[in-house]
Amino acid sequence: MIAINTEAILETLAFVATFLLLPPLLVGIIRKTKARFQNRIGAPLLQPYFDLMKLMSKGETISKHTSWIFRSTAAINASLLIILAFLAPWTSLRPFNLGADLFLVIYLLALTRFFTVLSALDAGSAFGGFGASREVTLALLVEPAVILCLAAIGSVSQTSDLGIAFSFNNVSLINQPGLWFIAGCGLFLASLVELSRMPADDPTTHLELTMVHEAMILENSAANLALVEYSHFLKILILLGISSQCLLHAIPFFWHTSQLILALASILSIMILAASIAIIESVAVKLRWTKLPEFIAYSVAMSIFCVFIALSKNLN
Amino acid sequence: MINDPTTLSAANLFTSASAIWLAGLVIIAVGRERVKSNFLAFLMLAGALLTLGGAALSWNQSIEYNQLQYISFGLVPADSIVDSLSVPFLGLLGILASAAAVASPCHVDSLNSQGKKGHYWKLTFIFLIGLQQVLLAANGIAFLVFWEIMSLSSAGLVAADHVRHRAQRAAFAYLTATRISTAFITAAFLWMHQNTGSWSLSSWHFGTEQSIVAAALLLIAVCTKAGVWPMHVWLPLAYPEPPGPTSAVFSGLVGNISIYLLMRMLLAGECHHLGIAYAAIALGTISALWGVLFALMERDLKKLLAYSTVENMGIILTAIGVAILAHCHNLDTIATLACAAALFHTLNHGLVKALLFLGAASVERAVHTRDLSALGGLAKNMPWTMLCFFIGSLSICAMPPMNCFASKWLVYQTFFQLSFANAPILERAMSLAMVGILAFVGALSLACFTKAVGIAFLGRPRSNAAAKAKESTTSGPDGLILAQVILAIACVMIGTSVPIALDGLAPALRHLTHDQFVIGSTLFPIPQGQLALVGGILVSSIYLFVLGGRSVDVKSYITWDCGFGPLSTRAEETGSSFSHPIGRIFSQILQLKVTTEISGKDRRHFPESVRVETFMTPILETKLYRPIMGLFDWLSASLVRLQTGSIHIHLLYVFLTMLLLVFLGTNI
Repeated sequence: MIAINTEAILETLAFVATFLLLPPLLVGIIRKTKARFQNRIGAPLLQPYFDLMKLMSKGETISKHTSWIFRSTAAINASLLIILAFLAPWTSLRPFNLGADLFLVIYLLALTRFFTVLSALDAGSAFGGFGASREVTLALLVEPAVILCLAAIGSVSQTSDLGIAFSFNNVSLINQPGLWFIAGCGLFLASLVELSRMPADDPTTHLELTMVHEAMILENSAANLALVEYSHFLKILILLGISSQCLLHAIPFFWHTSQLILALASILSIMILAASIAIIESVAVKLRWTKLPEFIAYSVAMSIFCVFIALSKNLN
Repeated sequence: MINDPTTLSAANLFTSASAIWLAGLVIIAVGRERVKSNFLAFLMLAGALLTLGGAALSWNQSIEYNQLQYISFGLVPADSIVDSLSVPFLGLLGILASAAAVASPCHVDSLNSQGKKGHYWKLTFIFLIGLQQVLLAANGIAFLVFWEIMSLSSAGLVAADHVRHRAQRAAFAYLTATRISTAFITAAFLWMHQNTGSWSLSSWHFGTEQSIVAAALLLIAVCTKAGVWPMHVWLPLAYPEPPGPTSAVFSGLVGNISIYLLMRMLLAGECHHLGIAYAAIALGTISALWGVLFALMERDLKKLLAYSTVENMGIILTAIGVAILAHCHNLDTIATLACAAALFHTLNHGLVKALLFLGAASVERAVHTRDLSALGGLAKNMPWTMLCFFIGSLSICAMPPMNCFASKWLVYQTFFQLSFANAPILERAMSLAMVGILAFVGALSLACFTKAVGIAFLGRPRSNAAAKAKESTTSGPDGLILAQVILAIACVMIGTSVPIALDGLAPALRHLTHDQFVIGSTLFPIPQGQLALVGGILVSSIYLFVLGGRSVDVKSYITWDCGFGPLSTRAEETGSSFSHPIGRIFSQILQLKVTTEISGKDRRHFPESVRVETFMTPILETKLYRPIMGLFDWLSASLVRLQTGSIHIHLLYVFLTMLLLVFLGTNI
């Protein structure tokens, strides 16, 4: 007989509900903030939900040149991101510790990219091809920064399990606001590129000279598109969640507070990061493609600082 | 030293495998065209399965035997030994040889000349015997003899299509590399023999001061034969050349055998030289970066795979380097992790690379080209090849839940744990930098293999031949397809049951680390199998309930063309354009140049012709090897002058040589 723990069940329910329902809201927040910055009223905050629901009821059209890769990618990427939502430390509230290995998390993200790129190449359109080509180029530049930020944190806590490294009772990381802050900023800059946001890619344009992510999903429609969009929203939640967790760890107050406040702060900080993406997109311009490596260099530089801090922490 | 029935039967199995392959060789030599290819393939398969059986019987015990007592190589008898380290490699040989045997009949039947058929069978049998006996050799002399048999027969396989200039060049480059590596191995063996007075491989220890020379010689030899930077230049020439089925064995084992030698000598022989460790890590790192970068830029499918071998050999070499480093600092857990990473990645890479080469062979058979710019859209006509190549690509990019993810994870973990271990600060900094570099290499290999799969199999066909490609010669899947399926299943099986596989490798790890308490299954704590299962359930339920499976009416229409009307296939991304943005970033290393020529009256707005050309000059070949080859040319041209043709001058040479010998003989 398994003892039923009401609290655990409630926690689990809250967790699942959060990662299923929050992602479209984040995009709503980004769009609304951007609209306000442009002196528009903008679409309602819940518009992404309505969009998804509308897409679900539409009839699907696919290119006759596609293979099985095209439709399975939508399902595979959605499932991978759901698994990642359970594994990755994007919020302080995680009802079960499944052993979020650092390299597993990174490689699961890479696996979603593998499928996205292949599905972009599948229809044989010119758009999909160059979107895919740009995506792998950006990924190549960003990947070392992401892994080094996380590996530096892991190295200080002497484990590659992010669940342990990111828990608020890990003594080895308690007085490291510098490390946490720089890692958080580095990861945030890297996420801007990974999530195809402004300095790297303009998510609102369909101009072939500039787009990366939109070019890759041009052939998707209806439920397929809904799944792809939803997976992308989920990815926003996870990546922003990881960087916001880093930033929260940098503030000593959160180390000594209750679980409930922490959980609320996690959600709130993700929303704040989403709003700050909107602010960046309103005041900054999209960079020229050839200038992007310089932008990503900031993120890489921050990750290298993290490595230095980690090495000095473990001096013996 | 045969002590119980199982060991005896294991030894017998290996001997009979060799005997069967030898019989095949005799039969094809005597019988010529009367012998059916199916029968020879059966012999090959039987030998492969016997090898596999022998490996299974002896997986955790070491057997020394001498069934070739009547043969001795002058100095020592041809002793054989099966120990825990050679067993995994024998197992790999068994699997790859079985796959090659399954794929052989349909390849041989497609050859038009009897000479080529005979050539294929004879060299394949000799190659397999050589490979097996190299792994079984117990002493240096036997090792060298069989190493030579293996090298020369594989050079023959590289030259299989010898009327082509390309194959001649490849065979020549490969022969040069094998000569250099054999020379260095011989020197290293002589050095160790001089130091220890024994020819037995297991009696050589590399912990002593004097042995550093031998260790360095071995490292050079292995780097040359495995294709590590900067000695890798022969590899992209030679790897694409062996005929389809044997390319599996060739690509999966030729490099790995030399890694096996390095493990047996330096890891099992307890090498304790920091310099060797640093050299291995440095060469391995450059090799990984260089290999994957050139693989990405390559437009020939098989050359792309060959460059990816350079990358993986580099990764394995870094792991071996860390293992030596950890031995030096007495960091036992890291040494165990590093050994496990090196060994497991070697085996996984062998398996996956064989699978990918078979896929490329299948593509080449169907389309008659390996040029990515003439492929495309093969997924429709070649579903099985596509699926297997896809699985292989997932695996070689180290995607979970495949087998290479587990071994790559072990490599990552090795460096990660070194970063907070009790080691000098510079080494810890190096190890974290290596984590970043490995991530970079990983992202590049993802780009490389999405290109390989995406450009070759997806999209629309870029040539007529690709549009009309036929997967197999018969109505159902034939041998070549079956061989790929076998290897793909092996990859998935290992990937989803890593703890079992690592438990199987535990005896070999104990041999490498000299630590009797190594437990294989705890090295890799990620429940990959369960994750794959959960993922599979999630994917299928989302596919069925959200996308609607097959029941939903999905309209099929043209690819989006912006309303311009049907796009020609020239509008598609090509292999070169896919990798061009990355090429631009590394244009200094790749020596990538683009020239654009626009002509016409008002050429800005109404160009009549646009011509864009990209050039890549391989920097190592032109800047390093061409001068060296020039030097050799000059030397040999100068030496010709000695050869005047006059008998008097030649008699003078003889006299001078005699004088020199007498002088040397009396003074030393």
